[in-house]
Formats: sequence, C-alpha cells, structure tokens
Amino acid sequence: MLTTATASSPRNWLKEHARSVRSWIGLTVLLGWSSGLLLIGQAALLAYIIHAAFIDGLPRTALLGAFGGLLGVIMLRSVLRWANDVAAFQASRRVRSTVQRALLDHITALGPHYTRSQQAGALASSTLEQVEALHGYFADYLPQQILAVLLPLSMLLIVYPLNWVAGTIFLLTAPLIPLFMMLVGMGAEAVNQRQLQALARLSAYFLDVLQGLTTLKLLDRARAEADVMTEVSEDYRKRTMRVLRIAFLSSAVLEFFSAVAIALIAVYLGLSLLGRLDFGHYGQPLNLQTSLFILLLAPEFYAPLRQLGTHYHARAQALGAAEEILKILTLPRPPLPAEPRQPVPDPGRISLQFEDVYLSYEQRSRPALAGISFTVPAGQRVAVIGASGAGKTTLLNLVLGFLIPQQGRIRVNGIDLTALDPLDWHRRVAWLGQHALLLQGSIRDNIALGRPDASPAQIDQAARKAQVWEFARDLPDGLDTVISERGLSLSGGQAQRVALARALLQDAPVLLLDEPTANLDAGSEQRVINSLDELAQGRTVLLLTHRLNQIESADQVLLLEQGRIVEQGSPAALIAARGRYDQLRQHYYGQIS
Amino acid sequence: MKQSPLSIARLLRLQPSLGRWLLLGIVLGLLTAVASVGLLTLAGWFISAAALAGLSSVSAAGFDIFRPGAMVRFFALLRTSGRYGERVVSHDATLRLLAHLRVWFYRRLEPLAPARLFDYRSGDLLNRIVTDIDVLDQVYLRLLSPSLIALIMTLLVTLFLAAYDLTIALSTFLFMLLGGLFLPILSERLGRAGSRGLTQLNAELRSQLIDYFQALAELLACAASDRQQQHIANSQHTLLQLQQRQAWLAGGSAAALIMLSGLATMTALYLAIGLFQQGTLAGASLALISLCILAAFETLAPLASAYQYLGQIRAAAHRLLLLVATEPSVRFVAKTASPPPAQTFDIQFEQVSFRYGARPLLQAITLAIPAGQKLAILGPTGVGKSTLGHLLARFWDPQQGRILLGGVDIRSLSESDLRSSIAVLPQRPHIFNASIGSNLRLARPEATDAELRQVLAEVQLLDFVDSLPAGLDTFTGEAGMHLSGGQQRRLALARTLLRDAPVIVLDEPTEGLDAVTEQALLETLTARLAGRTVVLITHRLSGLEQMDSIVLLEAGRIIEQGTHCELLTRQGRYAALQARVHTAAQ
Repeated sequence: MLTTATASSPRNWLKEHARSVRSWIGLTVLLGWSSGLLLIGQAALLAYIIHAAFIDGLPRTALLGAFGGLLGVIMLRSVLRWANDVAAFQASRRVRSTVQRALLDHITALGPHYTRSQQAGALASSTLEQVEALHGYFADYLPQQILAVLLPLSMLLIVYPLNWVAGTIFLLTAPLIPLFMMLVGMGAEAVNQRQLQALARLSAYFLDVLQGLTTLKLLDRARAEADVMTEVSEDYRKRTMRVLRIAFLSSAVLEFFSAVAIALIAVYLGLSLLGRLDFGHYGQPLNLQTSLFILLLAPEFYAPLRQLGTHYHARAQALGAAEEILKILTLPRPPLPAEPRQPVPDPGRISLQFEDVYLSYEQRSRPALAGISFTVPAGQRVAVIGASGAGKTTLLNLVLGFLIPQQGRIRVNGIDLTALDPLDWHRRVAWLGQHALLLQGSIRDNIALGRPDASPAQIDQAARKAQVWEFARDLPDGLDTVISERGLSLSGGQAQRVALARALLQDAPVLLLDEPTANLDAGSEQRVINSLDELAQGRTVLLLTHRLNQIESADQVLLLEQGRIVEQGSPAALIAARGRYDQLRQHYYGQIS
Repeated sequence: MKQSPLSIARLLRLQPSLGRWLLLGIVLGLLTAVASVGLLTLAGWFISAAALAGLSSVSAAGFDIFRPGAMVRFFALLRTSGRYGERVVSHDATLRLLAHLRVWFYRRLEPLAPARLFDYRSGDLLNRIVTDIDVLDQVYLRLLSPSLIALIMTLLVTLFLAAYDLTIALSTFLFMLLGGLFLPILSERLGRAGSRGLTQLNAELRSQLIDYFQALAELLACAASDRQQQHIANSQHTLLQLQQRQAWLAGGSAAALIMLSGLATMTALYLAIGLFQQGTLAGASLALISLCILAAFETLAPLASAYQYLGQIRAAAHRLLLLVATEPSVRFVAKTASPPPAQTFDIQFEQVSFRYGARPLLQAITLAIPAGQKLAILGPTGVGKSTLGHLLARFWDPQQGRILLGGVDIRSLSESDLRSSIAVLPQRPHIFNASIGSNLRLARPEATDAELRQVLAEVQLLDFVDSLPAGLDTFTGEAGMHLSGGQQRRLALARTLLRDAPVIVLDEPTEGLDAVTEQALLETLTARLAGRTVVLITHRLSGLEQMDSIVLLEAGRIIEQGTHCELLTRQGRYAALQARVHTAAQ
C-alpha cells in the first residue's frame, strides 16, 4: 500500500501515486488526444470549405454537408473537453483522498507525543494545503506531459505525407521538443519556486507582524513597522524579479520558435502557391486547401508544449508539497505489538508497576527516564514531583501508552501494558492534564467525550460536581452552549472544570492527574482539589505536580531528578529523612510566610 | 453577501506609480494579443491571395510578397517580445501590488490594535487576513488584466471585421460577447454558491483538524479518536464533492467556449461565402476572417475560470474592508499639548469604570500610585486586573472617570509620549520570528550588545543565550529556536526593561516559572526597578512582602489596600488568603 512512505524521494513518491491512478490519467490522455485529433479534423474541414468556395466556386448549398460535419466535430470536441476535465479531477481526487487518509493515520499512530511537539496549525496545513497542492500535478501536468509528445507526433504523421517541406519544418523542430521541455521546465521551476518562496516568506512575515501588533504598539514600533514592511516587500520584489527576468527567457525561446515556424511556413506556402517555389509536394502542386490546413495546424503543433509550460508550476508545487508530506510520512511509527491484545484483567482494582523503565529521545543526549521502578498498589495515591524536564510528562505518556519504553516494562495487574487492548485500557483510565483542551461542540459533548452513551442526568451530575454548572447556568444554552474557537470563549479555569467533569463521568478505576491546577487561581484551585479528593477515594491515583501542598495526603511520593528516582517514600518519611524533598518543601512554603 | 464589485475597486485605489506599471502590463499584453491574431490573420490572407494570384502566371509575377512577408515576420517578433515583456512587467506589477496592499492594509489595521482585533487573537483568523490579501493579489493577473485585454480585443476585432462586412462583424461581436461576458457571468453565478461553500468547508475542516491534533491525547485517552476521524473524513468527502462540482463547472465553461468559438467561425464563414458569391467580398478574405476569429477567441479563454472564483475574491475584499472600516476604540492626539512635569510620574485613577460589552469589569476605581512606588494588584483570574494595565496602555478608554499621569490626563498624550512614559509587559507577549537581538532592539533600536547582555543577565537569560550557537543572533520563533514559555516571557520582560520607562506595568511576569527562578527574578526586578513606578499584576501570593502597597481586587472593585503587614494585621480577605495557603503548608 501507499500509506507508508516506502519511496524515499518526493519524485518517486509522486510517481508511485501516479501509478495508482494510471487508468484515470490514461483516460485523460486519451480524451485529450482524441480532442487533438478532432482539432486536426476541424482544420481539414475549414480548409476544404474555404478552398471549395473560393477556388472551386461551389455554392453555399453544396457546402452544407461540410458545414454540418464541422458542427459535429466542434460539438464532439466540446464534449470531450468537458469529459477530459472530469477524468482529470478523478485522478487527482483519488490520490488526494488516499494521501489525506494516510497522513491522518500516520499522525495518529505517531501519537500525542508527536503532535504536541508540532504546531497544530502546521500539521493541519500539511493535511489540507499540501495535499491540495498535489492537485495540478495529477490533473494537469501528468496528462499534458504525454500529450506534449503525442499530439505533435500525430500532426507530423498527417502533415508529412501532404508536404515534405512543411513536414520537415515540423520534424526539425520535433526533436527540439524534449529540449524545449527541459528549457521550459527549468525556467518554470525556478520561476515558481522563487515566487512561491517569496510569497510564503512575505505571508509568514506579515502574519508574524499581525500577531505581534499589540507588542509592537506597546514598544512604540507599530507605525515604524509600515516602513520596514515596505522595505522587506521591495527587497523581495527586486530579488524575485532578478530571477524571473532570466527564467522567462526560456519560455520566450519556445514562443520565438513557434512564431518563427508559423511565419516560415506561411511564407513557404505563399511562395509555393505563387509558383516561385516548386518543391515539397509529391507531384501534385500545393493548393489552397492543403496550405490552409497546414497553416491552421502550425500553431496547434506548439500549443501542447506551451500548455505544458503553464502547467509546470503544478509540478514544482507538487514536489514541494510532497517533500513536506514525506517529512511526516517518513517518521517511523512506533512498532505495533502482536495481536490479539487482551482486555484488562480484574478492571475494578488496578495496580501499576514500572520495572526498570528506560526511555530516551532521539535529539537529546540524556535519557528522559533512566531505569525507573516503582509500584502503585490498587487504590493507593502516588505523587510524582520534580522540576520541569525531570521526566514527569514522559512517565505519564508511558502510562497512557502514547510512548513505549525502550527497555523495561510497565505492568497493569501483572500484564505487560503493550499486550493490553489500548481501547479497553483507556476506558479504565481517567486523565486530567495541565491544559484542558476542549473540542468544538457543546459543553455537554465535551463532558461526554469518553462516554458517549452517558445519560443527560449523569452528565448533569458530573457537571454539578465539577462546578461546571456554576458558570454554565449563566450561559445562553446552559450545558448545550457551543464552545467556539477551541475553548477560547471559556477561561482556563472554566475549561479545566469541564475536563474535570469529563474525568468524573468516566468513573474509571485509575486516575492520572498532571498538574491539574496549574492554570487556576487560588480560589478555583481549592475547589478543584476538593472535587478531586472526593473522586480519588478508592481509586488508583498517579499525581504529577510541582505544587507541594497537594501531595500531603499521598500514600507515596517519588522525587524525580534528571530521569531518575532520587527519593521515594511516604511524605512523612521523606520529611523525617531531611533530604532533597525536605529542602524543596521548606523553599516552597518559605515563600509565603 | 451584499456587496458591490466596487469593493474590489476600492481596495485597488492605487498610488499612480503602481497604476502605471499595471497599465504597462496590460498594454504589453494587448500588443501580444494583437500580434497573435495579426500573425494568423495575415498569414491566412497571404496564402489565400497567393493561391488566387498563382492561378495565372501574370498575377503571380506581379504579386508583392515582400510587404506581407515582412509583416508576418514583424508580428512573429512582436508576439515573442510582447509576451516576454508582458510577463516581466505583470509579475513585477503584481509584486508591487502585493507590497502595496499589505502596507496599505497594515496602516489601517494598526490603529485598531488591540481592542478591535480582540476577536482575531487566534492565529486562524489572522491567517485568514493574510490569505485574503493573497487572494486579492490575483485580482490583477487573473481578473483585471485578462478582462481588459479581452474587452479591447473584442472591440478591435469587431472594428476590423466591420471593414469587410457589418453583419459578420456584428455576429462575431455577439459570439464574443457571449464567450467573454455572458459565459464568465454565468460561471460566476453557478460557481458562487460552490465557491462560498468551499471557503466555509475549508475553514471548518481546518478547525476540525487543529482540534484533532491538539486534543489527540484526550481523544485517544477517551477512546474517541475514531469518532473524530470519522467526522473529519465526512467533511473531507463533502469538500471533494464540492470541488468536483466546481471542476465540472470549469470543464463545462471551457467546453462552451469551444462551442462558441466554433459557431462564431462557422457563422462568419457561412456569411462570408455568401458575400463572396454575390461578389461583394474578396475570396482571400474567407481565410482571413476565419483565422482572425479563431485566434481572437483565444484571448477569451482565461476569463470563465477566473470569474468562477470572483465570489471568493469578493468575499475576501469584503472581509478586509469590513475590518478596516471599524472605528478605532481609541484615538491618539498627534502631539502632546502639555507634557507632564518631568520625572514626577505618579498615577491616579479617578472613579474609573469600564465595561467590556455588557460585562462590567471595573467599577468606580479610585487609586493613587505615587511616583516610585511598587504596587501589586492582586485578585483571582477574570476580575479585571489586566484591564487596569490595558487602560494605562490605552487599549481602551474607560467609559467613566479618568486616568492621570503626573497630573495630566493620559488621553492628552501623544502615542509616543504615552509609550515612552509607561512600559507594559502584556500577559501574552509576542516573540517575533527574528534574532534574539532584533527582538530586544525593538524596544531600543540603538542598544549596544553590551546593554542587551546586561538586561538578559537581569532576567536570568544570559547563560542560556550564551549557550546558543549564534548567541544574540540566534533566530527564535517558528523559523528558528523554540523557546519555552518561561524563556519567552523573560525575553519579553527584558524587552520591556530596555524601554527604560519611568512607569512599568508587569502583567504576571513570573507565570510559568518554577519557584526558585520566580524568587530570583522578583529579587533582581526589585533592585533594577528601584525608583521607578511599578505596577505588578498577579494572582500569586508569593513575593508580595517586597511591594510598597497591595491592592486586592474582586468583582471589579478594590476591596482592600495596604502593605503586606498592614493587610495581615487587618485580618481581612488578604489575611484569609495567606492563612489558607499557610495552613495548607502545615
């Protein structure tokens, strides 16, 4: 399948996808070619009518048949043109649909650990704009690439038997076609890359300035920035134009050739008709019909090539897009453990066990977790503390199965986590993170995210307990109020309470809490802690925090430093030991008094 | 959407120099079109006339081949050079237009920031502004220039054919009108709903995707990722269906143009043959007329597909105009009439009330901050603490009451005077996609490296910057190094300090820092800002004992004010808050 990027280069990757839709591309070419042949027929009919009327002096009535034929050809061409566009779109549609699905699958497989390290907007643009940018390549460029050879050759085969001089003028230029293609291609590629780049950079700069407008204003630079903007744009224009002026020359060469060839053929035909030149024909001297026919074909001979030039930007665009898409698709997916996976045994009482867990990230020299072992017995609360970067978040990602240990294992009721069915495991875990992320939709939908089958009464109850009700009752539609713009319409504290309601509703035996009150003010913090305390009764709890006031009731505290557990024990025991934990604690509370 | 096409014209009201460039591009495009049509027309006439002359040896000998030959060569060269010139000039003009539009738009947007752009905070909406402007760039290349060229060519060809026969000229004119005017209008009409739908669906799909990626952890943990993927797949399917409709429409209008071009040629030829047989038209004109019409229709080809997207362009223009038509919430005087007496920058809020929409944020706040005092404004989130800072920076003006700086109403200060008197660190400062040095120099363009290093040391960032490969020249933001939230905040703080203003407002400067760094930072700040008027906005209870005065804000009102010790002995709200944290510590 094409879902994984086996091909290494963007070029090969595009070709591979072209192969998957070759029948549609073939159909597009066939339609384009038929349409080109009909154009030749149209030229022949026009030439015949003019010759018959002008030289042979036939009356209009005698030409009605020919006019009818001409009408038929034109109508057929017109239909073929439409069919051509339809087929071309199908080719592109299929590829884009496949690629989009592959991207979404791959990003999902890479998991939250990956998405968090990326800008969500950039990922969205990869799955939207970059995939969109493949369109022209499959719909226009690929078929045209074949037509640019096929159509001139077909015309050559028709013209040569009529007149060898005209044929030779075409023939001499025919071998130049690949050369033209290269010329046009190189020129167009440079042109388009320059232009796209300049535009992208300008847009990025402009966006940056708009985003920072308030900051600029506070620094009293907002008005001066307009001059900077003028300068930056001018600079881009000058640099881009320097390249464009040269790049356009290559298509001008093609343009020149086709214009000169038309002129040359016209002059040759004229002189032959006047009898001043007498070669090129096969016995029968040149007449108006043949001459007109050849003249009408002359511009069409070069038209497919010119067309290719205009589609060339599609290729550059697709190559650029493919490169961006491959950046994601070539990231190695975490290995999938062997199927089938088993459900969580004894899901009512869950214990967690870390056995010598080791994990290091590629870019960093120091491992994020270097041999961690601990146990969270069923129904106990374990708090993990440590400075940011000590490995707390990595620990959490491991428990959720978003990361897999490179050494050691994590056991759930004695079973290796990787052997468990992830859906079943996630049903057993309620997780409350630092930044509650709400999805577009109503508050109710957001609370019921983990349990779409929950009854309205159950949702109401969870909302009340998590104090969502407190602010929701003031909203126009209560719990059914739609949250727009990713939760911006709710404050951080309100969003956190919605997430808490979500966790309450899930009613899971394991509770994972990652700085659940980091973004709350003192008042809200206390309320959330109270709700959590109630929720925690009888459940297995893993709490990650740097607020030391929240861990006094924990059964066990782990102090992480640089990926290792440096102290471990009950809060009282750790204080009595007068170690690192005690120092941290003294500092934490010392601030207030 | 109700808007006249004039809205585009309004956006394109240009400076004359730019207009000249655009005009030159159009003239060159026109020359190219004339040369293309002329080349084929002349060639058609030439060989027909030659064929006729060739029938008798006398006329063949007398036939002047030099003039037509030269003309054919002339048109061939004109077409080549015309097209080259047109491409260079029109691309240059487009780049100029791009620059012009951005700067024009920026100048109008700038006074609106930040109050009127509040709804545009999220990157997506700003992104839309940027894309909207990009869409407008196409107005010239895709719409304006081809339309004018098509229009003029239609008239020229009609006039040219009228020299042969009026009926032929009229019939051609009608067909060209159908192809150049009726067809684009029709395809715009038919494509309008689709084009609007596409914009909407694209936006919807984008936010679904952003949602999905941002909340992937939540979705996986809630076992809801499959459901969300299904939503996305559905939207994608609808989008592709709609695109397909548009593609079919584009194919349809191209097909229609082929029909029209063929019919126009046939009709003219049929009429011309009749005239020839009546003896009122030279036989050589048959080929001339046919070829002329065939070539002329080529100039109409780009129109229909361009007009299919007119809806999109109009919608973009409409959105931009709507935005720049907004009244700024605050107007600054150009020049300060009576500056406050030097170095006595005390601040007074007199009965200041402020509502945001229907929500009252501040109610009758009266507060005096003597020059050189360090004041903390404390309160839970969402009670209007930041609003006090916003009012000092004149993001908004209060609906009632006034704010005095050194006894002078801040509304009588010019923007520059206000900014150089009051430096504000906002809650969400922006770090620009530029080097660390340039980011800092925004505050003080003439600052030396030594000064930058000193201020970086004060915000505890110097060691970090020194550890970077390019030091001060390291790029930050999307294009470069990613700074953590705490680092960004400190960099912004350094920038605010560089302003060297007598009054400094800091909105949650230590948010996101661990306790150790927070404490160290507060200490250096206190030392560095000795003698300045400082307003510290915070919801944290730590470090407040270093402040000269603490104001407790709740529900838009000041409920307590005093020093740390005074407030503790008063046994009020502040004491209760501190006690609660204290008890938690036991």
